[in-house]
Parts: sequence; structure tokens; C-alpha cells
Amino acid sequence: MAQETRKGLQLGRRGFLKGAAVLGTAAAVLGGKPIVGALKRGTAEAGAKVEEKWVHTSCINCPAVCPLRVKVQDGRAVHVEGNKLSKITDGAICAKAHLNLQNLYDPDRIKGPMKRTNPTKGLDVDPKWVPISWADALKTIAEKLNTLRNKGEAHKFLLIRGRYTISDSDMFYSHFGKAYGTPNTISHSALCAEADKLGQWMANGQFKYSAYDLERTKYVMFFGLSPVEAHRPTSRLQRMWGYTRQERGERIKTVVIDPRLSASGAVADEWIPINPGTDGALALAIAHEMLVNGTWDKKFVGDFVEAGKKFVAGQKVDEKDFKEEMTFGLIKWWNEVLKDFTAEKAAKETGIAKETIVRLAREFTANRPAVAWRARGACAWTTGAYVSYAIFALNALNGSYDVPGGALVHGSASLGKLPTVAADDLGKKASAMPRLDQKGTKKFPRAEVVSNNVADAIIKGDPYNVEVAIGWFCNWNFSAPGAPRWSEALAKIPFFVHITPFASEMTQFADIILPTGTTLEEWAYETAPDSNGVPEVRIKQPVVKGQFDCRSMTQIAIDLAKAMGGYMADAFKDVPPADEAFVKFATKSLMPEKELFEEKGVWVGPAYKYADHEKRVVTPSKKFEFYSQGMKAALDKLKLTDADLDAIHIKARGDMLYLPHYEGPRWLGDKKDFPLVLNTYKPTLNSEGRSANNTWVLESYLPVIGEAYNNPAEINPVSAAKFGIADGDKIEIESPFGKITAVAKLSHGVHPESLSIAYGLGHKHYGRNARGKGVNPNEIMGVDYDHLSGHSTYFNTRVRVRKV
Amino acid sequence: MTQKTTRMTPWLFVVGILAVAGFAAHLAVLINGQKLFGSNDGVPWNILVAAYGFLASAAAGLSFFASLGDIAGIPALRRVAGPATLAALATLVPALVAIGSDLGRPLAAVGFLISPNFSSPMWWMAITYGAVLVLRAIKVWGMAAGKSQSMKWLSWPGLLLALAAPAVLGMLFSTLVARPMWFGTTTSLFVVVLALTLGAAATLATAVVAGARESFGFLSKCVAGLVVALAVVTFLKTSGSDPAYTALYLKGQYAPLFWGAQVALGMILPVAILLLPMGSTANGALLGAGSALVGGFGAWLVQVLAGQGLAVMPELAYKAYRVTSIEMTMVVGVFALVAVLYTLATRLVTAQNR
Amino acid sequence: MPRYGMLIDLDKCMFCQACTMACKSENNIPDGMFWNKVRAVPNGKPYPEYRVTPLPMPCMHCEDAPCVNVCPVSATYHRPDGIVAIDYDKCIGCKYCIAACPYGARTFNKTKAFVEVGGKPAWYNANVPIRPQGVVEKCTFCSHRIDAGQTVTACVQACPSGARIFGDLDESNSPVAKLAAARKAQPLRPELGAKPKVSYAPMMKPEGGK
Repeated sequence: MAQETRKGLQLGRRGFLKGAAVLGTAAAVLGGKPIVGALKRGTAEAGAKVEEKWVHTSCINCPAVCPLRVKVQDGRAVHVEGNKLSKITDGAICAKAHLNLQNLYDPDRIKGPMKRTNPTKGLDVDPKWVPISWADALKTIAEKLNTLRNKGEAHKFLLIRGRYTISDSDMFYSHFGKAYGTPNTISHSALCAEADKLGQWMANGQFKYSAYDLERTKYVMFFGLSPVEAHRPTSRLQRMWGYTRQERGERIKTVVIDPRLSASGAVADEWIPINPGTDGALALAIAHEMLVNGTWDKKFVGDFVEAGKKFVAGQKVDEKDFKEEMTFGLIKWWNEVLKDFTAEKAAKETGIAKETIVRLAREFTANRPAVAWRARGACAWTTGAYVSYAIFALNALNGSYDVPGGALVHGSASLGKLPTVAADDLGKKASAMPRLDQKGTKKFPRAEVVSNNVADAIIKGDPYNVEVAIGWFCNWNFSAPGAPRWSEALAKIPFFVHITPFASEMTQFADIILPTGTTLEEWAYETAPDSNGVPEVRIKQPVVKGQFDCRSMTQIAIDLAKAMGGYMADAFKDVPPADEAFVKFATKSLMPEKELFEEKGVWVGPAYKYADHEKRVVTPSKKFEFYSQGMKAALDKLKLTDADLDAIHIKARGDMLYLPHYEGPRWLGDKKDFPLVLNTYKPTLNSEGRSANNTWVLESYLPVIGEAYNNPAEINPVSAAKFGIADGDKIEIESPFGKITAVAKLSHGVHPESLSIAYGLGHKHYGRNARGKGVNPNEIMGVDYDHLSGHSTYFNTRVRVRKV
Repeated sequence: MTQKTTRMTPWLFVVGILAVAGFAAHLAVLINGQKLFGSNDGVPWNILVAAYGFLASAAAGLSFFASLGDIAGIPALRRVAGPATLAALATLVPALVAIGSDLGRPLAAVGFLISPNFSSPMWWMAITYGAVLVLRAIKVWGMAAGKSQSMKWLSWPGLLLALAAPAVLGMLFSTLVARPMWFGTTTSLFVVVLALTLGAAATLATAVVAGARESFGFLSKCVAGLVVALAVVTFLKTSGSDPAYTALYLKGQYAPLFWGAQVALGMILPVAILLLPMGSTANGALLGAGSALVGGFGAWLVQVLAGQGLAVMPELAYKAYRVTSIEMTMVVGVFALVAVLYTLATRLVTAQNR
Repeated sequence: MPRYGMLIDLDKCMFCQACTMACKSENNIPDGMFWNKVRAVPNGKPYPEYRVTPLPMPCMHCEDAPCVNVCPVSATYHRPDGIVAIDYDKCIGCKYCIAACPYGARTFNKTKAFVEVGGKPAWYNANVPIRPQGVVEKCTFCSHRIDAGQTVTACVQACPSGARIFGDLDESNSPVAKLAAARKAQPLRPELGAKPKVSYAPMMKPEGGK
């Protein structure tokens, strides 16, 4: 025993020492340095003395293009603030503005022009990019464009713009596009808000968004938007949220009408859930109530000639009996549409209680100036232009048009323009060719652009094939409804150039990538979008040195024209030779250069002049039209038959076509087979589908539902129970057009008939962080339109779900 | 702990490998950071902290019985005083390894000496446990040097420290308003009673390993009695707490651990076994003690993890803790180290005493 | 000596997260970590009464801070102006302060913070130290700005609706003190006794419409 023990001890002690030696050596060999480093764990690096300066520029993360001041330390952009000189933003910036820092230094940025070496194109096919020089890239593109043009086929050149600076658009989309002569300069606008604009145009002849005098508004009904999350200009709306609720004394009342509890609905005074696609009915019932209760604004609209005469539900009114002041067509509207559109009728349609509708109408008129504000959620539907028209018309009825606190028409700034170039024969011939998107045809009678339709035109090769295409800052096989069609279409284009700072889904089909810089590196000018009526010009200038071998759109247009030589080079001979020169030329008339770029960063126009109807109401009657003579003229010109109207799913006939009316949603998918309605929304950190590679975005993506790194399918618990779905279940969502798999999240903030998915995730490309996170609802969305405006519908696809 | 043939100590080889695995896991964390842990800002303390709590309280309990063995003049206890001292040290050192591996910057721990915070329960815990460690180390050295008898004067301080240390350990938890399941004096009492229970069970197990048959009976009764006391304190603690928080371990996520380990293994089974005649056999004693120890570890898991399961502000909406294999490897390694150290310490002492 | 505090007006907050974004860039905060977070508080009612309110939470810089009380090595401490600060060199990363904080204000630096060369992101603000791996960090009320003479935190400056106000609680004329009194602002969970210096003005119910 002793022997054994001693031996055991010897083994034990020696073994221990041996073992320790072995381990120690192993540790030293394998990880000595990192271990020592880990143990030392460095001390915190104290702040060093750095050279700091502030540079003016503006944002590009949404169309608000808010003015920014960026702090630069030793040539690095480190912090973003707003510009208090702006009367629109009052110095505020939204959360997205800070993302410019992550974008500037994003490791997945494209560092120089690239050329495809794999001839096969596909969403999941590696293009096998190789770097090429700018000279080679431009030479190749110039050759393709010249060959096409000289063949007499300039119309087969497709130019698509997604997000753009105004200067880039003026230079490339307008000047270059016009000079080249193609009719196919296609904007993304019909993916955005064309129906909104058309509704306003029918009323006052202004094909624009609406501006609102929020500083003085007392009451707002928001139809189909989340103002403090995702409506241009976000920063202004967020600033005004604080101002109107707590700073100015009289607190605004806000009502958010939406099938889903958005962030705005959560913090507003009232959230009114509404059956999807029925906003028009609510608006008409409110108008009806205003008329039968006698609470419409007599000063703006007018009154019965005889005192004591009233609007009575169901009873027509003789036009002679009513004298309109600043409006036109009220009685026609009443007789054809409003007289039967009672609160009770709307209650059945909208799912909103009759008492609530009556109360809303009463509050709307009792808290003047009160505004009815509409956007995509209400208007991106079939016949959405009429919904826009109906809601916008409420402002006129309420005397809230072009008055303090009301809906305004935003002014424009005058900037230096590029000289117009006389078209040559090739250009004339090409621009006379029919457009791919069929705008202005019987199919899309009053559309300025029908963005999503171009995919189908390319796929069908109707009326001709696209030979060369350039797309910039766009990603339509991600962001458009029926996104996969765009992949199919792009694959058919023989030569496609994508101009973008990041390689996205659309880039997969490019033959050449031309990288632009990010907003903190480029020269540009911007005009503020419709906000408070007062025009504003913002600028962009390099805040830091360009990080990579990138060029702005403007510079590319200039360089490309030069590379093309001939007529195109000629068309650019009076154009400033570089983007900086162009921007400075265009903004010269505003104020001295140093003042604009170094001191102020923004030009603010003159104060708003209210009730300037001469300038603002440009209808045939020169009045605010409840009966759109402009629409009548446009439709008459096309000589639409009943069959034509059936083909574009408009049920109205005769005068109804020119009046705000309600036709109800047209569904893609049968209600029985597809019981839920696919609803998508834009959370505050979604920057037009361009922010999914930002880690700051992913980790805070959906604060209202407490989710990050993912966008679940939000379903009402009562509905979910019907389909046997529990919180966190993996589910398959199927529309008539496709399937996606998502995680279910049960939420009482969702209409029982809706299935809500946040937009912005579900990328397959775009960067290491964006890839593979979440789902993209556009993949299963059907293709439909508000045919009058060409606006793509986003909310009328029906789906079914099952647990997987 | 060698790669040579170990016909005599195959189990030492096994636990040696486990200890090495734990060491490797610790290195990985040291280099890569605690992203390898499943903890998060809502549940900052993981199973390593629970292992620390278990080992530290067991070590204090062992210390208590070791000192008591010297003081009380009960032969059954005196017989195991030596092994219990060795076990105390062999348990306390791995405890410190466990908690040390949870520190983000271990070398900065010199701050305990150069920038102390006297209001911090953790500082006092370091002091008291440091004293226990020093005391037991002196004792072990004394045993190895054959000077056990002259170390007797350390017994009273040892006893008091063995009670103070778990009390302070309990205060670590009981002073936090942010954790309603921990806040309140019953937590401190709970930890002390748990420490004594684990100490008794560990002493009993040590007695079995050391072959001290004559101590089984007395120690079994100690264990059984302390388990009953523990059950009472556990009941008082649970019934005195907010049901929203106790629901986590009575009905919720941690219920299997609570009912299965803490209650069944930790309380019911030991009492049942140890009060039966089989409680006086080596196997029965080992089973009873072992069950109490396993159950005690379960109790510490519930205490540490369930205590962080629901924040005092539910709006914080933290994600749940999910243990990673690295953490489990480290904990297994630390337990293995207990066995290794006890074996080495025993051999060192026995060898020196020849 | 000023006693700095903050007021957050829940009638103006709108879930926008500009505060969180500004804080990230100002303070060189690694991915996955937050010094300020906007939390959501559901009302627990079913559709259509369901509502969620935003709750932006920085560090409360409590006067009787549990974190300061429990730190064994005095790494976290009160500055004379009331700001609860951290000496990162002293922190041992034991996470006791995280367990002790009722408001979830503190976060643990689990891994090498920035993978960029030099251990810093390109946008890093040189006025704020980059913290080493293995320490706990939290909102500092932008003490680096205060020490440079700019008494406004990044979150307060960034908030578009002006929901956040910062200043000297003891100066009766300061906006933060005046507004806190006027709106009867309350801190979160005052009964816990930590005496937080961030208070919240309530979201208001609409004045019953005419």
C-alpha cells in the first residue's frame, strides 16, 4: 500500500508538474499573445486633441433631403446635426440622418467601377465582377449608347431613376435623357405617391404633394400614413409633433386612421382602426355629415341662396339654389355621391362605429383650422386617386385650403437652369415613339409615369425590346410589387448599367457597375419637398474626402456625354464641366457662394402668402373643383368606352368619373381562399429599403413591437387562433403570386383581417448585414394599379397562412 | 492528470481531462470574450456564478464543520475535521476559478486592495472568503507539516468566518432592489442555511471518501436536520416573495429545476435516505449526500438564474438566458478541479505525514 | 455646483429612436450595445383598445445609485455634478452593477468592440474614449460635452420633437426644473429608493374635444 501510494504520489506530483508544464507550453504556443493581451485588456483610450470642423450638407435617406451639419475630426465624419436656419426642419433631423455615418464607412461599399465576367445573369448567380477603370467603363457605355442611337433606336434606351438629388436628376434624367431623345425616362414616382398627387390635381390643378401649415393647425386626421415614422419630411413632422402638442400653448388633436397601430397611432390622441382599403368611404361620410349638419365652411364654399335651406340625406339639391364662392361642383358632388353616403353606410364599409364617424365630422369642423391628410395607405389602391380626391376635398369643405393652419401649395425656388438643347432628328424620332410604361394611354389615362409597368413591357417585348438601360439609386426587384418580375425583365436587357453605392438585387443583372459616393462625399443641390409652403434650397458638398473611386450622377452624366462625343457632347458643351461647378452655377442666384456653402447651408424662400388663389388654383374654373373639369378633359380626349373603363377596373360612369367617389377595394385573390390582407408599412429606421446593412438599424428596427434583426408577420391573435398559429411559429404566407416563410408575431395592434409585415428587410444582397435578415413582402405582392394615375397598389394582395 | 497509464487512479485521469477541457474553454473566453456566454444585459450572471455560489457556500459549510470538528469535541466530527479542511480548500479554489473566469478584466481585481468600496457586499465577500481561504490554506499547510495540533487556535475564527462568509454572500443578492426575488433578509438566511446544509452533505461525502465510517451516522443526522431547516427557510422565502417572481420557478421556466433538483433531490431524497438504516452505510450516505449536493447546485441555479429571470421593470423586455456549451464545459471543468485538488491535497498531506 | 438631470416628455416622444442613433455615434458604442434605448410599454388591452407607449431610457444617474453602492473596486462613482461615471481602468467586469441597476442602464462589453483596424470605427468621436473589452459601460450624460462647456447631451440635441431636456435641477430657472414642476414629472419606480435624476412628464389625454 505504501509502495503504491508513494508511486501514486510520485505519479501524482510529478504528473501534476508535468501536466502543468504541458498545459503551460500549450497555452503559450497556442494563445500566448492573445492571452496576455486579453489579460492586459488595455486601458480606455482617452480622448485625444483633434482638429474639429463643421460642414454643411444635406441628407439623402428619404426625399425630405433635410439640411445637415456634420462634425469632422481629422478628416473623419463623426456626428450629424441639423440646421436651425431651415424653416421647414427648424434644426431637427430624424433618426435616419445619423445613418449617413454608417453608410459613408460601410465596408460593403463598391470601391470602383466593375465589369461583369459571367455572362449568365440571375438573382443568385455570381456576376464575377472585375474592376475596370472609369475610362474603360465610360467608353464601353458610350459605345453602346452611340450604337443604339445611331441605329435610330434611341427609344430602346431605358433610364430609371430611384432616389435622386435634384441636381443629379436635372443633369442626368432631364438634360441627358432629353438630349439622348429616349421617351423612356422612368421615375420611381408611381411606386411612391402618384395617386396622392392626382387627387390634388383633380381639385386644384396642381400635380404635387400637399403642404400643410402644421404650426397653426388645431386638428388633423391622418388617413393611411404614419406621420412621425415615414412621411416626408419626417424631421419636420417630428419637430411639429413636439411643437403642436406642448410648445405653442394650444394643443393639437391628432387622429390616426390605419388598420395597424403604427408608431403614430400609438402616440396620437386617437387611433381609429379601419377596414383595409375603405378610407374613401370614411372621407365621404364625413363630407356628408358636414353638409347635412350645416358645418361646412360657408366663407370658402358658399351657401344656399335662401336661408333655412338644408342638405337632407337622400334628397337632391337644385344647383340654382346654392351659390358657390371659391369652389365648383359641390352640388353635383352632393347629388351624385354624397347625398346617400351616410355615416351608417360608411360604418358598414369601414368597420368604424357610426357614432365615431359622426363625432369625427363634428370635431373636424369644430376645431378649425383642421386638416385631412392622406397618403399611400389610403391611396395606393385601385381607384386610389378618387380616395385622394375625396380626402383632400374635405379640406376645402372645411375652409382649410390655403389658409393659416390649412393645406397649402408649396412654392418653388428658382435655380440656374441648364440651356435647352434643340433636338436632332434621331432624338425627335425616338421621343415620338410610344413609351414603355403606357402612360397617358387608355390603360393609364392621366398617369405621368407607370413605373412598375415597365417590367411587363420588357418581359413581353411590347412594343419593343429594351437594348440598353441605366438605372440609378434604384432596386426595383426588391422594392416594387411583384418584385421577381423585375429580375425576369432585367435578365432580358442585353446591356444594363447600375449606378449605385451598394451592390443590391438589381446590381445582380448589371453589366457594368458605376459606383456613386454617399451623400457625405458629393456635390449637389436640392429643393425641399412640399412641407410648409415655403421653398427651400439645400446643398450637398463633400464633408470628407471621397473614400473610393466614385463619381456623382452629375459627374457621370457629364463624363458620359463627353465620352459619347458628337451630338451628345455638343448638348453638354455649355454645361459646367464638373459637378461642383454645376452645383455652384445653379445656386449662384440664391446668395454668395461662401454664404451658402460655408455659413448657412440652406436658402429659405419668402414667407408664405395665404389665399393666393390666382397662382394656386389652376383649374378651368379657377376654383377649387369638387367636379374635376381637368379630369373630364383628359378622359374625354381619350374617348374611353365602357369596355375601356371595365378593362381598368373603374366602375364609375358619366359624371361620377370626375367626382370624388368610393368604389371599394379590388382584391388580388379570393376572400375565401386568401382570408387575410397583406399590409406592409415603413418603420422609422427603414430608409427606402436602403438601410438594412446598417447595424444601428438592424438592432433597433421595430421598437413599437420590440423586434430587431427581423421583420415578423404581425397577426391579430384572434385571427391567428383561427389558423392555429401561435406566437413565434414559423409560417408560410402564400398569395396568388408566391410564397414566403416568416416568423409569426401575435399583436393586438393589427386589424383582424390584416397580416402586417414591415418593409425594408429580406435582402438577398446589399451587404453582409442585410443579407438573409427578415423577409421581403414585395416578393409575393400582386401587380395592380390606380389606373388613372399609374400608381402601383401595395395593399390589395390577399394571402393565406399555414404553420410550417 | 497525466497522459501516462493510470491503473491506480483512472478516475483522476477522467476528471483531469474534464478539468483540462474546462481550462481550454476558459482560455477561449479569455481570448474571444464573453460573447461565448449566453448571458446578456438582462441576465448578466450565468451558470458560472451559480457554480461559484454553490462551491463557495459548500466550502464555507465544509469550513464550518471542519472547525466544529476541532472545537466541539464530538468524535464523529473530529475524525472528519482534517478531510473536511482539505475538501474546503479543494472546493474554494475552484470556486474562485469559476468566479474569476466570469470577470471581464481579472487583472484589475487588484482594485479590491487599492480602491476598495466599503459599501459593496462583493468587497466584503472577497474579504471574508479571502480570510477563509487563507485560514484553510494555513490549516492544510499545518496538516502537511504535521503541525495540526498547533493550529487549533484558528478553529474559532474559522467557525465564525465560515458563518460570516455565506452571510455576506447572501447579502450580495439580498441588497438589490432591482431583483425582487433576491431582495430581502431571508435571502441571506437562505444562503447561510444552504451553506451549512451543503457543508454537512459535503462533509458526509468526504467522510465516505476518507473511509470514516464512524462519522456517517452523526453526519447523516446533521444533513437531514439541516435539510429540514433549509426546507423551512425555502418555504418562508418563497411565500414571502412577490408571486410574479416566484412563479418563474414554481410554475414557469425554472420549475423542473426547482421541483426536480432543489426540492426532490436536494430535500426529499436526502431526508428519506439518511433517516433510513441504509443511511448508515457508505453507499447510502454517499447517495444521500450526493443527492443533497446535486439538489443544492440546482438550488443555486434557481437562485441565480430565476432571480434574474424577470426584471423589476418588465418594460426592459430582456431575452431569456440560454446556456452555451462553453459555459457548461467550464462548470464541469471546475467541478472536476474540485476532485483533482482534493485528491492531490490528500496525497500531499498523507505523504508528508509519513 | 450644478446637479444635472434630465426630463423626458412622453407627450412628445414618438418612438423615432433619433436619441439612440445620436448616442451611438457620439459615444462610439459597439454593435448590440445601448446606452439609451426606447422601450415599448403595451397597455395589455385587446384590439382595438390596444396601445403601446414609448419609454426612452438613458441612465438615470441616481442620487442613491445601486451601481455605485455595489461596485467592489469603486470603478463607478458620483461626480461632484451628480453624474454617475465609470473609471474603465478600474472596472473588473464582474457585472454586479448590471445586476443591481433597476433601470437596465448598464451594458457589458462582451467582446472586442470594433473589428476595424486600430480597434476604432472610422466615425469614432475622439472626445469619448473607446472602452476596452470586458468592462461595463453606460450613459454618461455626455459628461465629455459638459466638461468642454457644452451643456447639452447628444440625445437631447438630436430629439426632433424636443422631448428631452437636460440641465441643472437645482437652478429653478432652468428649463428642465421648470418643466418638471409644471408637468408634475415623475421618475420611474421612485419607490425603489434609488432617487433617479431622470423624470418623465406624462403623455396627456386629449382635452375632451368640442
